[in-house]
Amino acid sequence: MRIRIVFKLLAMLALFGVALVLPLWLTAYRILSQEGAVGEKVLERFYQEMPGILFYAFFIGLVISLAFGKRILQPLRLLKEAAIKVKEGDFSLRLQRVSEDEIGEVMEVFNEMIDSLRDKTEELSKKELYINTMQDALWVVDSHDRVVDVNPAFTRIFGYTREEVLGTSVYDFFDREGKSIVAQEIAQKKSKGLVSSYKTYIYAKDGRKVPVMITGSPILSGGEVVGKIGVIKDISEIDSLMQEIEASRSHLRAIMESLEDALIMVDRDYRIIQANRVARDRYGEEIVGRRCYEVLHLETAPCFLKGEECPVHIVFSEFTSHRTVHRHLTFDGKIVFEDSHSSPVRDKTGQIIAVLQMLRDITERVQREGELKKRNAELELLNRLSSLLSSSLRAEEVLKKVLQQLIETFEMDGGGVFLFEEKSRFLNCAYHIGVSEEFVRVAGRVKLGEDIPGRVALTGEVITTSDVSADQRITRSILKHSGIKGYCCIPIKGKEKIIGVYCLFKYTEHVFGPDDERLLESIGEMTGLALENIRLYEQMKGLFEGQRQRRLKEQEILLKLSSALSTAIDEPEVIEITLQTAIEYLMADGAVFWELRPSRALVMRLCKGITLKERHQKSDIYSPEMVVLRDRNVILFGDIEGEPHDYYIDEELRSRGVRTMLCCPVMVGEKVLGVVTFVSFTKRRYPEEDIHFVRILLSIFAVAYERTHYYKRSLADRGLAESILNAITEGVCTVDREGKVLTVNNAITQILGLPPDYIVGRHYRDILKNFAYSCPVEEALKGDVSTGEMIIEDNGRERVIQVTSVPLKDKNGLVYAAVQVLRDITREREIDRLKTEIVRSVSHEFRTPLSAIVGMTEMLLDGDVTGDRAKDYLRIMYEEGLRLSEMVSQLLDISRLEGGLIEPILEKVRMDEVVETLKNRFSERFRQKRIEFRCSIGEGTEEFITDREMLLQILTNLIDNSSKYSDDGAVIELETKVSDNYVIIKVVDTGWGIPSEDLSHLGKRFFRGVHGQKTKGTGLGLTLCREILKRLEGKMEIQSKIGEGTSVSVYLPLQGAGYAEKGDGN
Amino acid sequence: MPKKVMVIDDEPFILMMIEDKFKRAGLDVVTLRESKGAMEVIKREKPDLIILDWMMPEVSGIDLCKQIKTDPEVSSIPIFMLTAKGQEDDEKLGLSCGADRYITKPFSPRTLLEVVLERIGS
Repeated sequence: MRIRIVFKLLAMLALFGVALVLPLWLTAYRILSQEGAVGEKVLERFYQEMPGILFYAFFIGLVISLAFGKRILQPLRLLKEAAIKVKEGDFSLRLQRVSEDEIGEVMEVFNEMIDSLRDKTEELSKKELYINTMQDALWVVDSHDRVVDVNPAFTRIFGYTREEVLGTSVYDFFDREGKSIVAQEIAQKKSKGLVSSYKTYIYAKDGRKVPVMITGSPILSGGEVVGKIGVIKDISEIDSLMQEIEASRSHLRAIMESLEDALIMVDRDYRIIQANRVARDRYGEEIVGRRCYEVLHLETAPCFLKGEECPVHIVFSEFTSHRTVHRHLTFDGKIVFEDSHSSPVRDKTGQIIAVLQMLRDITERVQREGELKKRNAELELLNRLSSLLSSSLRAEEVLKKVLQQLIETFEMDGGGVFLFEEKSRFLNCAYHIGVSEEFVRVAGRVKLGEDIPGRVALTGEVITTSDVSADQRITRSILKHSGIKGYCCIPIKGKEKIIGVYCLFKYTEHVFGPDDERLLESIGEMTGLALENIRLYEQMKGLFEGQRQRRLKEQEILLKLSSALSTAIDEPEVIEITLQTAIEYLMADGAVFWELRPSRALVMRLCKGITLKERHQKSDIYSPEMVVLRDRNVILFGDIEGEPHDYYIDEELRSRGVRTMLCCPVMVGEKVLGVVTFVSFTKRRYPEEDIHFVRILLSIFAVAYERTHYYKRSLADRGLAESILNAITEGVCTVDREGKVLTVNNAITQILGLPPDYIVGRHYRDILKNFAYSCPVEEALKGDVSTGEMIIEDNGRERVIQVTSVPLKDKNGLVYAAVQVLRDITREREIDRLKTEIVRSVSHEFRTPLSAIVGMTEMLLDGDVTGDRAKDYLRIMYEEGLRLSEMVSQLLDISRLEGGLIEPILEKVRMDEVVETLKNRFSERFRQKRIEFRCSIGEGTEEFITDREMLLQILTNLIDNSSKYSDDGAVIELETKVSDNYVIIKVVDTGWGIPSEDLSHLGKRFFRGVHGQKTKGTGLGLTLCREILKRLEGKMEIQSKIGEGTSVSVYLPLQGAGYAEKGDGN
Repeated sequence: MPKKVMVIDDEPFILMMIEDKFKRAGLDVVTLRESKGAMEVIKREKPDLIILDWMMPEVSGIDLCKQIKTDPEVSSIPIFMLTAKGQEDDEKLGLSCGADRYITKPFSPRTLLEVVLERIGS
């Protein structure tokens, strides 16, 4: 190719040469032709021609080089222009190949170069874009470990701007640990030029420690590491996720590991992919990776292929959890029963990827259940046997039934019962099943200690064998060749001796386990006991009948005695009855009762069947009675003369011929009341039961005796108490613990109005009722002193009875009765009520006038009212003050009269003087209201005996009322006359009158009728009048008609107080 | 508009005192000497507060109080019982009938005014 451009140059040179040589040659030819020879002339002419030739040559050369130069220069220019454009970044242009020479090639290469450059540039810009937009941070580090560039993600994640980090050392971003990691990694990169990833933390600008994964790669230049690029991945989220996962994994692992159950995870290939500690311990360390059926069952194929229940298969095929009990093998070959709980493990899509199997070792439970089942069966058997044993009292039947049961239970072919005959020391077959009579004849009688039954009977131990013929222990037995194989012999043990044996046999081999032997042994024992019981029963039956008769007799005696004692209240009577009964029972000849005195001496109270000196007393400590007293125990002398003893026996008894003596204490609880000595003139024996029964009799006696003793004493006390009770005015009644009335005194009849006969014996609730609050009797019976009030209706009048209840307690503090004291407090209550009412109304009535005084004074002081208004205020205050003082004095008068503090002073009173005084008192009022006051003093009333001041008080009040409750210009008349020993003074007015509904209230304290509103008053005037009249033994009558007027008649005894009644009487 | 207080008491001087005291304080006072027919007056006058005596003939203060408190037209009017009944039980009864306050006689007009103002505002 290069040749072509050489050719071009050669062609150009050739053309140039031709163009130069040709004119030279033509010129030389022409000159030579003209000159003909070469000489001076020729040279000269040549020189002359030379410029033209040169010019021509130059022209030709110019034309040729122009022609050729264009062809070479044009592509060069294109190349130059293109290069400039490329430099500016325009990679779009392409050069046209202008020639096929080297330049053309250059252009071709140039085009290729542009293409390649464009691709590179594009790739670069892509890379940059990628770097700028990548999520992960990136840094470029120079050979001095200084940051030379970072991407925007770096800023975003760590907060540092590019400017801030440029030039800083990479180590500034790590903590100490991080620094060492990074230094190590960088050193490795430097030395080996390796790419590596590592985890560390970078401090962000805000101080956070960001977990990162740095992937660093070295920047190589000429085989030298000149820097590093690190891609820094923020793994905070991943990190925390990882931590969480790790935590939950370790949690899970911890749970798995801490479970007491084995846990394995099995995949679809039946391969164990996970196993916890328990599983590894149980099935071997290396089980992970192995097949479950290999590990658990030592099988070579999944169990379900053999038609067995495979939980893994079930979970995978049926998509459900599964629970079952499986027999598994442990690593050391032990068989374990396990409760297997399998459940599916699913992936995200819900696909079952594995089966989680929880295996709980329940071997012990399974075994225990088996054991239990067995025990139950045994118990059932024992139970059945025991019911058999107790169902019959016939020994034969029992033995038979038990044998049947044993054969049935142990699935035997037959058996028999041998009973031991003590006399001959032989065991005889009493009953048999499944053997021929012939065999029994031969084998049915065995000597003690011989053959198997004999040995068993001798040793008392069970013998069993699975095969008689092969058993080495059994050397000599007819059984050996009888065809019997399984055999057992059980002793029937009584309490102390062997009763017999049971034999069971089977024609096939039968293994009796230790449990069976134990069971059989206990059955033998049970049967033995039952048989013994049956024997005992037979013996007892005879005894029992005798006992029964005896009990009946004793009961009869007890009944007789206690009923006799319960009615006896007299001491000697009680003693008599008791001694008589006991003598009869013992069939003794006599008895003496010695009573214990406080002096600790025994004094004879009564003797029966034997006569002793009266006032016989014992205190010598050697006498049997005193010893009985001390020891509180019975002393029996079967024969005083015949038997030796250390006691001092009364000479008197001896002399009377007493042979047998029985001394018994008489006791109430621990307290000894005395001693009874039973005597017999013949030698006697008293069985223990008899003595015991006598003691019972004596204890009954003791109670009765003590009761009568107390009864006697209490009679005296009661007499005194009763007389006191009946003397007091308060009602008294006692009730027992059940609430029944025991006693009442006389006064209660007056208070309750009920006769004692009615009350006694009734429940207190029938009599003491209508309590305001709780019933005191109830409280007293609970043990507290209590007071209550009850209301009783008495002829339409309510009466208040105060009831105070006091519990009566025995010495243990238990309430046995309650005493009620009843008091009629009606009057006290009434007085109380009145007092309260008066205080209430008085305080109320005082409040209104006080309002004026207090309130108005305050207003005057405050300057609320002045001038004439103030005067009005003062006037009202004055009036109200007066009213208040009037009230006080009237109230005082009333209470004095009520309390009897004022006695009327009787004297001769002239009526005209009284009238005169009244006129003076009211002259001002009459004038103001223009009231006409008329008086007429009737015959016989001019002068009479009474209290002058009191009379004036009455009349003043009446006239005051008349003038107050009437209009101006009214008329008030005062008339006097005598009628039936009474002076009648009548005050009549033409006032407003009193409405009939008010009339009945007149005279009540503070009552002020309808007119009260219009007038001032105390509401006490008529009350006072009534009280005075009570004192003067007079009375008052009021008649009134509304709108017409009122007439008040005052009746006074003509002879003064104290004579009126007598006058009436005459 | 001054606040209006109605006083019902059968004792004229009580009315007089309260009227004088309250009027000086700029209150409008309506007095009534009897409880009979008081309801009409109350409905007509629409007072801001009623001071009511207990012991009055015909209709007692307690009954009137009940009437007022059960009539929706006037039930919102506060009622002060002003009475000579000073027992504790009385006060309980008074308050249980709907009275807003229970004041016993003798009373201080100054204090009464204060409590009234406190209730209705001056």
